[in-house]
Amino acid sequence: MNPVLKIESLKKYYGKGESQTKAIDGISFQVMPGEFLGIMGASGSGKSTLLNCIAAVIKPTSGTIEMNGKEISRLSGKDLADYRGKDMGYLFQNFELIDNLTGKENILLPVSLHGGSGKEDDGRFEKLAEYLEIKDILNKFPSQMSGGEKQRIAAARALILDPGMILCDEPTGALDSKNAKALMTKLSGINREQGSTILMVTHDSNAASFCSRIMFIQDGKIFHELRKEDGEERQSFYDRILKVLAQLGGGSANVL
Amino acid sequence: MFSKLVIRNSIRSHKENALFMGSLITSIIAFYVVLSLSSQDVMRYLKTMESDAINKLFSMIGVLYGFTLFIVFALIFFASKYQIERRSHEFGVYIMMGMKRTKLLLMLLLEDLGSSLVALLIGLPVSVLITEVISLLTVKFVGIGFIGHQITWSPKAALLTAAGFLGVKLVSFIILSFILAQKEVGTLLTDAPDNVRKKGYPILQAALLLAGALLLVCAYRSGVSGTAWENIRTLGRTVMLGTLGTVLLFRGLRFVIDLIAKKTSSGKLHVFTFRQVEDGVIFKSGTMAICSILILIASACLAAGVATFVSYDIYEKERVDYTFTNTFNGKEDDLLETIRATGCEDEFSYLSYLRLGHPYIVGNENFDSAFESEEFMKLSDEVDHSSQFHYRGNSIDGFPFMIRLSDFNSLVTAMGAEPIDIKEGELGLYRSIDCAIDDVDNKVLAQRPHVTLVGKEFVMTGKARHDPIVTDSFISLSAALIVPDDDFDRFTAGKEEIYLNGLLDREKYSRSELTQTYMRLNETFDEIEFDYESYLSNMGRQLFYLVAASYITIYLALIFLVVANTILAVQFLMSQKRTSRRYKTLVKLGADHKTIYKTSKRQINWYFGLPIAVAAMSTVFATKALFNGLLSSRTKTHIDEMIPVILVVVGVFVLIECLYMHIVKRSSSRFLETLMTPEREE
Repeated sequence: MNPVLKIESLKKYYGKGESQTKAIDGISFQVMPGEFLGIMGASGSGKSTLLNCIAAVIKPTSGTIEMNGKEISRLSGKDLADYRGKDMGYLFQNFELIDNLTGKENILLPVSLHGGSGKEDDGRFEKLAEYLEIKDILNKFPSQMSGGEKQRIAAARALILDPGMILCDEPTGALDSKNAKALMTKLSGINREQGSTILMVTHDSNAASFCSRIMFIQDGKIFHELRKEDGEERQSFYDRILKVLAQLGGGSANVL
Repeated sequence: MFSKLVIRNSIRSHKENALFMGSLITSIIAFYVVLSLSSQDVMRYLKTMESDAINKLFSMIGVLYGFTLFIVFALIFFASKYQIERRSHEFGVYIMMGMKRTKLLLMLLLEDLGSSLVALLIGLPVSVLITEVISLLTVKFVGIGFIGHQITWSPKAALLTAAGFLGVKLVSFIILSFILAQKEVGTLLTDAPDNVRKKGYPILQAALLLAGALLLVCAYRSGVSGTAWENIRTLGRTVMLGTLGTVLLFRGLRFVIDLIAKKTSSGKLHVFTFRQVEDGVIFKSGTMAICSILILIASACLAAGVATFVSYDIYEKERVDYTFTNTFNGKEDDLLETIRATGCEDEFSYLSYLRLGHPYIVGNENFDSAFESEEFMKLSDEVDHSSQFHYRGNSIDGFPFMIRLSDFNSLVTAMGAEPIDIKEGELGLYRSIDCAIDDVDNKVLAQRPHVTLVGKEFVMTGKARHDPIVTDSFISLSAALIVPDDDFDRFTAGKEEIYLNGLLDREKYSRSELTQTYMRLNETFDEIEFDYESYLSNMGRQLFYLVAASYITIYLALIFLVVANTILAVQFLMSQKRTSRRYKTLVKLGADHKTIYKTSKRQINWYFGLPIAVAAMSTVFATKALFNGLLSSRTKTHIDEMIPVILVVVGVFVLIECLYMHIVKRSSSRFLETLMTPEREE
């Protein structure tokens, strides 16, 4: 099976000489189809830079990022915009809904940008609306929705074009624990049932426990990796995550 | 350090904001053009001619200056408000770094002063150049090039311009600083929160739209049918209906834009584009309506001004160059002989008498019954349903003036017009151009009404005539009868008034030489002991009307246009800045440059297009109403000639609008450029 995302020796350095900062310092990993990968790390560990590189927002200093066999650093213009819109669905911490569009119009925005009339994905749209339980709020404006509702609308928007991979950037960061759990349940459901590939950056161990694999990053390098074992309970995976985080907090001297 | 910051900020803000600088320079030009009016060539010339009238015009300059101050204040206030809102984040950072608010305001004041001085340095020379061009063009257009050009530069006007401009800037600065001082740092640092969109009520919006349209139709009807001009109350009511109609129409437009937004379209970001336009209609409907009304006033002023300018040719084609009279103290022969004696007879291609008089009934002192015209008046009343025809001063009952037929025909033929065809037993109708009511008169005359003049039966026929019969103001006839010679001589019983009309040899003198010729001949005729008038005084008055009516209306039109467009531009750019987050989201969702610029451009087209479209529609009716109500019949006779001029005016209008939209599109693109990099926010 070919990986959806393949990252080889990725480096991103800022500045020169003594003042050089190595935000990412030689990271390599792969994401297989249907995988739910979590990336965790402290602030400044390099996870934002990694996400920005994958989203083609910044160019890496060296190394390659291949999405479905396409080297993304070679993309430009329309191909780049299409990559951001079609190959990748993006779920943001602060929802990024456009406040003067209704829920439905927000969800169909990627279709309007990359698809066509904004109507042609009706079948998928209906299914998503049903699954994410947002049918009642489709005609509301974001100001009339709760945080959880906003994030579910945003999730539908990220999924509407059936992208090769969904990038989630702290999706539960602006939600209370109840709504965070509801969202993660839906996301992992989509991952399981539809086989969608998800890459999620998070601080939240609870949210991370829904993943099938977690990569911990520190000082621009992969520090550790956890894999959920077959049949492992979420609680047990959660405990293991906490242990790694405790080690991370203790500094790189305490190697596991 | 502080002064460096001030200088760097000033330079940066000029580079970044063409709209702001453009508004400042426009304000300076607006002031200077008004204040230097008295130095214009045409004004200098007028001063030598009709001092009373021209003094009236000059006394209006004060009022115009005050009005300009007010309008320019709106212009500067809006432009500065945008400038400050654009930089609110920067101000927040200064305060967070420990800058005192007083110091921040001082910094802004110094920056403001800097930009004002730069605007004055650019604006004053541009103003002088523009007034020079206006001065030269006006002189050329009205054909008084002989007076010689003088530079319109007026130090007093420049000083007053600078004073007015700086004063207005200072007042707007004080108000804006007050607003700025009230804001919390947190508000400055974050973009101002957007207006929260609430659920709309389509039925209510549709009702508002319908009500607005209905009120506008009522206003249009009242304007076009002429009822608006009956008295000040009906005029006020029409203006109120129009204003309220426009405001309601814009309030209800959400209904239409919502429908367009929901319409299936293959265009990229169709829904987003129209939701943005809808935002404008929801949150800025008042401003859009006011701008639409300002554009309407501008175009109506421009239409009226240009119509007047075109129709007032100071050398009318049909004109009498000289009229001499000694009606009350001399004899017929004396006039012609005297002219011959001056040796000026050769200057004239036509020199002949025109006789006028009242119908006297020998042995009857009751003059009021000399002319009985019941049938004419009855037919007139039937044609003109609106109100009683003869109560409106159009009556020719009783004791009318009569013009001798052969005198009239020889004069009009000499002027190049067709003679009137009147036979024995027939009468012609004459009305001066300012009293012409051809639509009624000609219909009545076509029915050949029977009348009685001094007991004799006549038939009135032909078409009503308006040719000038004397040079200027020796005699003004609202209505008169053109009577066959034999009847005229009998009815006047030797008590006629005699005028000697002279037409200068048209082939001998070109247009540009005419005024000098009048001046030269007048010197000769001044020494003769009888009354005369030359076309020169007539020309002065025409010129006065021309300047008063067209110059000022065109000036106001341009000022209104600039203000309306600046307000629209500033509103759009400010709201785009406030909603920048939406564009950032689009970029994150993979919208490319082209798509983002395209939606912004479409929004600008709609944001400007809606008020312009409503204004254009109203202008059609307002212009028609103006032509009906305000402009003299003299102007109406020139409507055909006006069409090309009006097309040029429309062209200029479109050009100004395109220019503004282009500036806004450029500013908007430059702003959007800064949002094009999607960055992850921590």
